[in-house]
Amino acid sequence: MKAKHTKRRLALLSLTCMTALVFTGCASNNNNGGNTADNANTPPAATNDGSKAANEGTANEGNKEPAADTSPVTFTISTSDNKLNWDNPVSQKLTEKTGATLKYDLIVGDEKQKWDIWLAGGDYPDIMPLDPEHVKKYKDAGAIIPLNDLIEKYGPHIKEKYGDMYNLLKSDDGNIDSISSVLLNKEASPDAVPNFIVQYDVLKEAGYPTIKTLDQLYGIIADYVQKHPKIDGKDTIGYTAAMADWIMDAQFNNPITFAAGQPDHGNFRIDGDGKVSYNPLTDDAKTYDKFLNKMYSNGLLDKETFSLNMDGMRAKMAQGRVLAAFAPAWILGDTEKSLRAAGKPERAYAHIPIYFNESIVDHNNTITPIGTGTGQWVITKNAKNPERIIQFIDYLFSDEGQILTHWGIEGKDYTVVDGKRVENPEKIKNTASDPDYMYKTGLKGPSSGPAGEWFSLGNGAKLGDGDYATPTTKDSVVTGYDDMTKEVLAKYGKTVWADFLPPVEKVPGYLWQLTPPESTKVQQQKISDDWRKGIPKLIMSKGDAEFDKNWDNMKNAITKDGLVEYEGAFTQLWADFNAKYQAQLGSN
Amino acid sequence: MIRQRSFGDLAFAFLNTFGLALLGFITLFPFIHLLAISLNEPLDMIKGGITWLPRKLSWFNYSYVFDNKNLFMAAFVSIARTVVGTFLGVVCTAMIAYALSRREFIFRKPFNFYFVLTLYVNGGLIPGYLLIKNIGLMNNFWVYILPILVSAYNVMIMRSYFEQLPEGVVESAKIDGANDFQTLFRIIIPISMPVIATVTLFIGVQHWNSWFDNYLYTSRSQSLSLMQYELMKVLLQSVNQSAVTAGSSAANDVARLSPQSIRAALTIVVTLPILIVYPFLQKYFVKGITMSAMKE
Repeated sequence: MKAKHTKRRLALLSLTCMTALVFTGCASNNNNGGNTADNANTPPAATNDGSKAANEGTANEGNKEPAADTSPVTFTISTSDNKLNWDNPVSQKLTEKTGATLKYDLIVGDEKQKWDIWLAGGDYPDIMPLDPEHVKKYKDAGAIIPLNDLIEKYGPHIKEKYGDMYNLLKSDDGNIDSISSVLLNKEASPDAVPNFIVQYDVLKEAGYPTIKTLDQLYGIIADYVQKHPKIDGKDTIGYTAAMADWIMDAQFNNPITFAAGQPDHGNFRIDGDGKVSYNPLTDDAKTYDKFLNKMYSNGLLDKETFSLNMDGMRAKMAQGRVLAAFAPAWILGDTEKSLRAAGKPERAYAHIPIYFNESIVDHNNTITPIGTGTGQWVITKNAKNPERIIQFIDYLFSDEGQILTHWGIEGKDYTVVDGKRVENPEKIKNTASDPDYMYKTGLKGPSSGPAGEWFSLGNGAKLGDGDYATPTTKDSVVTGYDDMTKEVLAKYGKTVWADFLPPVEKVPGYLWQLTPPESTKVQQQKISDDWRKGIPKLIMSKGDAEFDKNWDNMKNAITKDGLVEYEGAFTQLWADFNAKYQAQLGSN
Repeated sequence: MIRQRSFGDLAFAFLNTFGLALLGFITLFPFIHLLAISLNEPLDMIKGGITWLPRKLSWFNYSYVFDNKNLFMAAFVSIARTVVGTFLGVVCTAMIAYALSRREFIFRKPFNFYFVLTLYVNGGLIPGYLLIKNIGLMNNFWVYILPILVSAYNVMIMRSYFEQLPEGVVESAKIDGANDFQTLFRIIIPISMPVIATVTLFIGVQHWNSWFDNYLYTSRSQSLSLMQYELMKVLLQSVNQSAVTAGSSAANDVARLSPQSIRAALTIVVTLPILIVYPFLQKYFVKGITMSAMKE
């Protein structure tokens, strides 16, 4: 009996020891823990100090622009770019001008999850470039501070650059939660490219004709395939497209929008009255599908189209045997690099816009005035001197700051020739040969909206001195081209691909940016399924009669999925968005 | 008496060999494929069609991966973590499993229940984060070890093995005057090498592969960075750089990068150490099972 008790006790003891071990482990680490806890506790107090200091600032100085405080101060800012650093000429110059040093708080992996965890733990850095969803989450949790008063007092340049767009910064309750770049460019960014591609060699053989319409494209492709049925021993592919997964939207819907010269609203078309319709069922869609049908019937369309994914499409283009396609730069990826590396520059692509007919006026080249989506800087309540952060951001918005962060250091990165800034050849060479060069100079910064880093005003935008705000100009883009590209462009009397693009038009937003109404989810799925089912049949139709029959079948199937309600819901969504936008623009 | 090998036996032997060979091939093939991709010149790889052998041999991907200067320090932390974590993990798991396997342990049932419960219910991400933060393990090496020190699953595996050992082993140890610690470490563990090897492998691989605790708890401390985390940085950086250089027509050295190739190289780099360790542990799987400590 007794022995049994002892055993039990021993068994218990072993467990107790274990537990004790675990606890001592924790206890010994509590010292470190103390620090973390302290850190977490200090910020609220600091925020009070900060706002007090801000108030004192206004009390003491009557004038609107208080003398900038340039005493050293350090802010933490989150980033997902592990190469960012502050040990470079441009960053040092920023510190010299504003006193501020940014300490990058790196997130490797899922940024959004980390933002959530930081929010829960109160561990967020002083400044965070967030997406709209997280701006809202942080706001609801009371983790960020409104910027209205701070910008009013310390942000003259921010207000100046935003101009009559200033009210767009405000959210529904009138608070400014976040700040991101404002796009001021009136022409297309010189490095932008149109989305249809045609191989150089095809153009050369045809004697560099002007290709404006899909019919003209069909003609020269048909000729080329007839003359060259094989390229490097493999079948020539006249036109390719990929349909396997999500890429279908980009390959079978987007070309319709672009060929019609319409602004890109995802799977939708919006007419002059604001009525939203489903793009793949428009008359233009029928025209485009008919074009693919014609390609297919004549053996010019890639036979694997219906099972091809993006990587497969890239592989074929990199083999140099695809003559034309709808392929924006992000789909093209590294393929042109691969072709040039393989010594086949003539297989690279001309980037041109192609339309349904000659009379189409292109309105596709649109921008939204305020970048939403990524890089909306918020100031969290962990920040000790929010007014210094706004001063820092304000400096970035000033002409001086824009030149410093985009052009670099005068004399070293650029020189002023005849009153115009010109990039130094050394810098251009280094940028091309060293992918880290932009980090080493500090010209690369944390995300601040779609136009790029350091609150860029957009490539092609001009500053107060009448010169460009960023060094991405036609000249700099051309230096990146190979001889073949320059030659082809010269035949068309252009210097860069962006010359083919129409002037920039401003739109309030895009339908695909808005959160779809909850009620449309089921319809969305059904419609998209029927579209996916219908397209292969349609494109493989034999003869016009069968094509029309298949078109009607697809149209009927999709209409039965609740198309009317679906389109109605999006029409409403768009109308609401526009009403809010206009109200906001006019509000105070 | 030697039995004649029947048709059935032959068929079984054939299917057995063939089936296992097929299984082995299916397991091996992805690695061969990745190895071929990682050893191929990246811009050539984009053309597709690489299955078994690289078309244009190049060490570019590997030199890109090992270019990260933090990688060697991170490899050291990863190894330290794996060794310390596995050793402590196995010892603690064995102690708990031993206690739970003893029938005379009065709280056996409730403890068993409590352990099994953790297999099905856990606190979730954010409570876990707050716990670690409040007990002060943030940016501390021990955050790699302590939270996953003991997993109920491994305890159950070991407990079942201990339970099927003959009761007489423990009894005879007691008669010879051994206490419970001596019984566990000098008698039970040496005759349980198969299960110890299994659990060692489980815990070791878990430690080696894990990077999420690095992401959650130690992201602000570069000196605690794990190898997996650094490799993740390399991958994300390659995606960035590839996007930047895609637009430029000059096919210079840096522009040769393709994230797909880098990913293949990383997979090989990460898997190789485990593949090397595995054969050394494997002998225990076979050896221990037939061993008997008792003469009935």
